[in-house]
Amino acid sequence: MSTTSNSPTPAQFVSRPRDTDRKTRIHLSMFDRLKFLIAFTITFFVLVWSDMAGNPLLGFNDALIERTRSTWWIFVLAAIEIIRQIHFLISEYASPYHGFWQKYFAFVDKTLHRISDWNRFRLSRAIKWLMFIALLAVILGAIYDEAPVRALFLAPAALFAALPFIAQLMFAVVFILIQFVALFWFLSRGGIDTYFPDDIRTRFTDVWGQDHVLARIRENLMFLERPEEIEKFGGYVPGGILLWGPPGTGKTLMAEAMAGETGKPFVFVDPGAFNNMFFGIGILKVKSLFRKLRKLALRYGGVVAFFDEADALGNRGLAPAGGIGRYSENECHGGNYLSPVSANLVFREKFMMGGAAGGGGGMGTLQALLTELSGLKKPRGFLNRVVRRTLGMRPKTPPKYRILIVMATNLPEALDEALLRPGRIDRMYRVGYPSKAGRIRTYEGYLAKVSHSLSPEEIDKLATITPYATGARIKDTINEALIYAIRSGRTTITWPDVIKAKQLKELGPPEDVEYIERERHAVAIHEACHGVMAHVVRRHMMIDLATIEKGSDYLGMVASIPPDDQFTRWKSEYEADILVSLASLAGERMFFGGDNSSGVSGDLESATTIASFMEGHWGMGSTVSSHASNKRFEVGAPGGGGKEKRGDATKEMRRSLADRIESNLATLLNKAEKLLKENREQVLSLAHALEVHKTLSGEDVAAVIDGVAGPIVDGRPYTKAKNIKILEAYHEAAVRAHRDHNSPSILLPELQ
Amino acid sequence: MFKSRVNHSLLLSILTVALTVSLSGCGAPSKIYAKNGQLGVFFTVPSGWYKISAEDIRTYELEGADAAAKNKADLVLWQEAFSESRKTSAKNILQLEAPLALTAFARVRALTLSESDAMSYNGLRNLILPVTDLISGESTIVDDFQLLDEQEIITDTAQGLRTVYSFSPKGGENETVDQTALLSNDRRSIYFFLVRCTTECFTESESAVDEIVQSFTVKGRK
Repeated sequence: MSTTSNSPTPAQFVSRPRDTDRKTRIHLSMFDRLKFLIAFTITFFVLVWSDMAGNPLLGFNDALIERTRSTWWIFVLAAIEIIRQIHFLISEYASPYHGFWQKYFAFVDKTLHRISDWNRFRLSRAIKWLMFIALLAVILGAIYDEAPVRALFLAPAALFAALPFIAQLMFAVVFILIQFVALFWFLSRGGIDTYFPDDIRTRFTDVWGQDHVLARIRENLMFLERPEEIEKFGGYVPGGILLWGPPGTGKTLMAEAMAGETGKPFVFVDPGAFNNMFFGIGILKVKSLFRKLRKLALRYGGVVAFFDEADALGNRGLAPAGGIGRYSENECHGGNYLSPVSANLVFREKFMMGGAAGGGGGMGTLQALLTELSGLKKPRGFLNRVVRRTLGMRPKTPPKYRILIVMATNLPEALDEALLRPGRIDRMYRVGYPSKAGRIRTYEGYLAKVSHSLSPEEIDKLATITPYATGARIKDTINEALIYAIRSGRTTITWPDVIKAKQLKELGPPEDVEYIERERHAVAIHEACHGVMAHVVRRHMMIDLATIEKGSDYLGMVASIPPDDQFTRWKSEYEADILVSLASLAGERMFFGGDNSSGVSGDLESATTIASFMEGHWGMGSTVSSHASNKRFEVGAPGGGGKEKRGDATKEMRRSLADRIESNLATLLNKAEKLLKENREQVLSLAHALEVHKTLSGEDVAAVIDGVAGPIVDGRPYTKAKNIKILEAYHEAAVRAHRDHNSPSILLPELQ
Repeated sequence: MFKSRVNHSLLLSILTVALTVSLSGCGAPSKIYAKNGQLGVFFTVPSGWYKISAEDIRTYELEGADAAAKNKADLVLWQEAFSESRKTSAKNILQLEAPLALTAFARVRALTLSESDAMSYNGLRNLILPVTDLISGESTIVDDFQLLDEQEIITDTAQGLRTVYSFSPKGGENETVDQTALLSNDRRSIYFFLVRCTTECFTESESAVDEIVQSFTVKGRK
C-alpha cells in the first residue's frame, strides 16, 4: 500500500470572466434571492398582527384568512418575485436559456436606442412622473378611502385645510432662525464708519512733507469727483491706492485729508473690523460693507473707502506682486531689470526666508474682499437677476460704481499678492520719511501753532539734524520743547529747548550717575577717539553730539547725522564707519598701554557687521558673489580651503569669508591706530572738553578739535602747547590711577 | 457545498411558508367579524350570514319620520346587522314582528344631555319595549310577555344589562329577544346589541345565540 503525498498546489489568483464571456448568469447571493420574499412575508405578518391587535375577537387563523383576502396583491408581488427568481435560477445554470435572454435584451436595447437620447430622457421623465402621480393617487386613495383619481383632487383641499398648522410650523422654524439671523446681523455690524463731506476738517494743506504722494492722491480724487475726465477718453477711474511706509509718516493723516477734501462720502474701515469670533462673520461684514459702498457710490456718485492698517487683512502665504526690491529701502531696485520669472524666483526665496504668511481676519474674509473688489461689474439684486430673468428679460447692466479703495499699511509684505494686482489696488505709493524740505515745512507747520524764537536758519538746521523725523516725531519734539519752555517759566520755545527735546527723544533721559574720576577719563577718552576719528575721516556724516553722560543703555556716545538726504552708500563711507567704530579699541589700547575695556563690544559688533556686509553682500571685498544667495543655496562662501600657501594672490583672495573679514578689520584697526597717533592731542583735548562739559554739540566738538571758538565751548585754549602738556600730565595721572585702582593724583585741570 | 444546501433548504422553507399562507387564503374564515375600532365595539356571527347594510337600516328608519325622529337617528354612531337568512331586510330588523331567521343587530348611539341624566338600568332595559312595565303588568303593549333571564354586565368601560324575554306582538308570532344594553362609563353613549328570532327558531339555535351574544365586546372609545 503506497501513499503518495500530494503537495498542495499554491493558490493562484484567477481573473474573473468578463461579462461578455460568461455563458450563464452570475450567481446571486442567498440574501439577494430572498430579500423581497422576506420583506413581503414580514409585511404580511405585521398586517395580520395589526388586525389581531385591532380586534379582540379575531383568531390567528381567521386573521390570516381575512388579511389574505384583503391584501391579495402582496401574493401577486410575491408570485412575480418567485417567477423572477426562478428565471434567475435557470439563467444561472442553463446557458442556452441565458443566451436567449441576453440576445433578447440586446434587441430591446437596440430598439430603445433608436429613439434619440433626448427623447428617451423626456420619455423616461414623463413615465417617472406618471408613475409617481399614480403611486401618490393610490396612496391618497387608501388614505381617503376614495377612488385614487378622486383622492388626487382631495389632496389640495387637505393641504389648504392644513395651512394653519403649516403656518404654525413655519413660525416655529422662523422663530428659531430669526435668532441666528439677528445674532449674525448684530455681529456683522461695527468697525465701519461713514463720514459725509465736511464731517472731517483735515485738508491736504495739513499734510506736510509728502507733496509727491499728495499730488497723486489729488489726481485720484479728481478722477473720482469728475470721472468723465478720464472716462470720455476710454479710460477708467483707478479703483485702489495703497499707501505704505514707515509708521508715523502720515498715511492716516492723508486719508483724513482725503475725507476732508472730497465731496463724496468717506468710509473708514477699522483694522479690527474683520476679526471675528464666528466663522463667516468676516465674510458677512465684507459683503455688507460693499453693499453699503455700492449704495453710497450710486447715491453720491462715488465713495472713498479707507482700510487703515490693511495688513490686518492678512494674506494667504504668497509673495506680494512686484518681486524683489519693491519694499526695500535704499538699494538699487534689483527686480526691475530682471525678467518677471527670475525676479519672482529671487523674491520668493527671500520671502520664504522671512516666512511672513498668514494672519488676517479669518478664513474666507480676505477671499471675500478680493471677490468684492473685482466683482463690482456683476448684475446684482433679486429683482434684477431673478425676476427679470423669469420674465424673460436680461438683467440690467450694472451701473458704474465709482469706489476708491485706499489702504494704508506699514507692512506691505504682509498684504496678499492678489490684493495688490492692478484692477484691485491700481496704484501703490510709498509714504516715506519726509524730505528735508518736507521736514522744514512740517517744523514750520507745528511751530506756527506755538510761540517760538527760532530763525529760519535754525529751523533749516533742525530739519538737517533730524534726518528720519516723521511728522509724528516732529510734532512730538515740538511739544516736548514746549514742555521744556514751560518748565523754565517761559511760553516761547527757544533753540536750546528744541535741542534738549530732540536729545531727550533720541537718547532718552540721562541717568544721574557721576563717574569716579579715572573712569570718567576712560569714558571721555573712548568717546573722544570716536569723535576725533569721525571728525577726521567721516565726511558723509556730521557729529550731532558727543556725551559722557550715562544713559539707560550706554556709557557715553558720539551721535552722528547725515548732513544731507543721501540715498546711496559707498565703500569709502563704510570704511570710515568701521574706522570710527574701531577708534575706541585702538584708542583705549593706545592711551592705556595696551589695556582695553569691555565697552568696545558694541563698537566691534557694528564694525564686524559692516565689514561682513561689505565682504559678503555689497561687493566691497575681494570676491563678487553675494553671501546672501550663497547662504540660501548652501553653496558656502568662495574659498575656505585653508591649505594653500600664502603669497598666491588669487588664493589669498579666496580664503574663507571669516578670514577675509578679520583681515579687513585688522587692516582698518592699524589704520585707526595710525590716525589716532597723529591726532593724539586732539583726542586729549576733546576728552578734556567732554569731562568738563559732559555733553557737547557737534559744532562744539568740531571747535575743540579745530581749536576755534564754538557756540558754547571755546576750542582755542587747546591749541596752546602748554595746555597740551597739562593734559598729558593729567592723562598720565589718570592712567596710573587706572592701573592702581585709586584716584588720580591730579584733579581735572582748568585751561586758560 | 454544505453552505449551498443549507441555503436551498432555507429557500424551500420560505417557499413552504409562502405556499401555506396563500393556500390558507383559499379557505373561508370561520366567522364574520363585525367591528368598529374607533368606538371599540366588536362581535362575530357565524360565517355564511348575510349583512344588512347600515345605510338600508337608516333609510328605513327615516321613512316618513318627523324631525324629532330624524334628530334621534342622527345620534346613531354605528350600526350593523346580520341575519342567517338572505331575505331578512332592514324592515325586519326594526319592526316588532319577529324576523323569520336568527338576526343580530348592534347599534352604538350617542346620548343627549337629558337622556344621559335620565339613563338608568330601567332605561337600558326599556330601550325597545317597556319591559319594566310589562313585568309589573302596567303595560299591555304586547301579549304573553315573559322575562326569561336578566343579568348585570360590568366591563372596564361600560355597564348594563343582558335581558332575555319573549312576547307576542299584537297579531304576531311569539318571539324571543336576547337584548344587551350597556351604558358607557362616561355616560355619553349606549351600546345596544339585539339577537332575536321567533321563539321556535331561537330555541333551536340556543347555543349559536349564546355564542353570538358572548362575542359582543365593548372596549370603549379609543
